[in-house]
Order: sequence, then C-alpha cells, then structure tokens
Amino acid sequence: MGRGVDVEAMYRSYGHSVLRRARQILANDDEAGEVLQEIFVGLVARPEQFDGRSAPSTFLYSVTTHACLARLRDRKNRMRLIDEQVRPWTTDVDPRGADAATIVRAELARLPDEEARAAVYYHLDGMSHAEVADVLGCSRRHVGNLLDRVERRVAEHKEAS
Amino acid sequence: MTDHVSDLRWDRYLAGELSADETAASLAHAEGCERCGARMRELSAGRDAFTERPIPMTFARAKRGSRRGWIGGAATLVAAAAVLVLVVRSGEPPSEERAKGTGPVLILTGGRDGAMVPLASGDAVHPGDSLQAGYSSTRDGFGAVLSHDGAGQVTSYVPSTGATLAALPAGTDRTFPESTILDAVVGSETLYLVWCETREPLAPLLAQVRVGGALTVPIGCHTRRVVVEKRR
Repeated sequence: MGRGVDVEAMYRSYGHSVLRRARQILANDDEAGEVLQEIFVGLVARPEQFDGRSAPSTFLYSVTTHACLARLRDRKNRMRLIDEQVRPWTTDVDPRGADAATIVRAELARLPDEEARAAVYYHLDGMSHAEVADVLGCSRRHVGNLLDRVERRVAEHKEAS
Repeated sequence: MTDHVSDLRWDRYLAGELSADETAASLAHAEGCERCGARMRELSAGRDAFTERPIPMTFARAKRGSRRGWIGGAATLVAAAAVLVLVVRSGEPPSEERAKGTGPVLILTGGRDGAMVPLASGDAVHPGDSLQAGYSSTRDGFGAVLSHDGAGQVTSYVPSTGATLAALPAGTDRTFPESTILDAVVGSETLYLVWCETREPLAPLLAQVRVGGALTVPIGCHTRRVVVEKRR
C-alpha cells in the first residue's frame, strides 16, 4: 500500500489536523510547521511508512505525536522556560479543557514515551480509552494502567519539587 | 474516560473515514452537546482554512528535517520538492509574510509563583498571571510583545515605553527585556510576538493589532500570534 500513497492528497485532507495537533503539543507555531513538513516530506521519501493497515488519520496521529514528543525532549531550553514547579495536577481536570492542555504539555517531556503518548491522546485529543488503545495498538486495560502511571508520576514529581 | 466526541473522531469524520453509523452517532451527540458541536465547527473551519491556504513547503526547510533521518538521497529530495510545489501553487500566499530561511524561535510562557509554562492559542490564563516572552536567535534583532485584550485595549507590553522595537541580542533561551502581570480584564486576549532584523517603528504594528488578525510585517520580521482566554 505504501507505494500507492498520494501524499499530496493526504496533505490536503490531513495537513490541518497534523498542524493543529503539533501546535497543541509544542505550543510553538514555527516548530509545528516544521513537524508538518517533516512528516509529509518524510512520506514522500519513504511512503512505506504508511502501510494501510490503519486509517490515515490514525497513522498521522501516531507519527505527529512521536515527532512532537521527540522535539519536546530535544528542547535544550525547556527546563529553563518550564519551571520545575508545575501547576497542581488534578484528576478532575476537564480532559479537553485549556487548563488540562497546559498542565499536560508541561509534563510531557518528563514522561516515558508510551505514557507521554497516552497522555497526549487522552488529555489533549480527548480520546476515550478505547480510542487510545486503538492508536497505541494495545488493550484498554493497558491504557488505564498507563494513565494511572502518568498521574502517579506527576503527583510524585509535584511532591518532590 | 470522556463521553464526548474526540478530536480523532472529528478528524476522521472530516476526512470521510467514518461509517454511516459512526457519522450519525457523532452528529447526533454534537446536536445535543454544545461543547462537541462547537469543537466540530472549530475543526471544520480549521480544515477549510488550511485547504484554502495550505502552508508553503520549501526545499530549504525540508533539508532541516533530514537531521532526523526522514529524508534519503538527493533524488528523493527533488521528488519531495516536486510534489510539494503542487501544494504551494494550490493556494494564495499566506497573509502573514515571513522572511525566508531559519528565523528565531519565539515562545510565550505564562503562570505565577515561578511556575511558568508555554502557552498556545486556546490556553487559559488568569488575572495576576505573569507573561514572559522568550526567543532563540542566531542573529541580533529587535522585538515587541503586543496585546489586544478583551476590553479592546491595545497595549505594547514590550517595549513598555518608546516608539520602536526593543533590542534583542542574539542568543539561545533569551527572554524579552520585560515581563507583564495580567490585569483583571477577562475574555479573549490576543498576543503578538514580533522579531525583526531591523529596529522597526511600533505604530504600524499597533495599528494592525487594533484591527486584529495576522500581522503583515516587513521582510526580515517574524511574528507569532497566541490567543489566550483570561478567566477569573
């Protein structure tokens, strides 16, 4: 399927979604634009990345999240611009609310990869556990465990800071 | 777990990936749920705006991505450029002109009591929060942080005095020379971060901020617009 990917059509149909999510995760328009470019130029170079086993939207959610998390971890200045003392984490935060997005974004660079991806999908994209499981390719129970771990790590970090 | 329709599902709906049953269920939920209905309209408008004005993709910026191993040899780069040129030609140039090449990275952070976090459009802030703009640039430049608040007031946060942009020395992880404490006016506040190679006058920028929308700036300038919601 990879060789049959029409990248231009995919860009037109899904570019807005990739850009929006990159902006949401990175909080930086310039870097979000670079992620958009990385992903679609990468698809031209290596169309086999998309093997057609999942829907294009699901595939692009996954690669966008991966690219953004890599950038967050690479940001040399993040510890200077993001203070160690983050806002309080609460379990009753509206998953799609502005406050939740702000809190999650501040924590992402500190989390292990799988937990960070689960946190993005659940708290920033507003996915259900079933949807997160579908994108991650795991069980709902595992998603619940991942999100529990995220919550514990954040709470521990807050206590330690 | 959320009972609302996720962004993924709306993106799949907009791309025509959902089955008839899934589409009907999502739209039925949105009819009775103000938040999901608004979110669907917001994402749909974002899709329409992108379709009308896709972000130009350039060869120079593509090469930057090669650091991460996304791109193969020269022939592949040519192929990539050829395909993406079609995308560029399909839309009008963006209204917010940017200088070619690598520009500065502009970031806006907000919070209080030392807990500053990066802000993006849609994020919530509160009266009394501090706002601090930061940047990384390989060149000396000049900058400003301008605001259009919920009461319609236009303010230059940086510089707080003077008629031209403030000096911003080259460097990594630098901060703009002044920070701001948000006042009690609630509502949507639009913040513009501006970086220019030359010391531009403030007045033309403030006039555009008063009108709203994206700024049209001289060659050599970069801007970033962040719309935050100030809540009590």
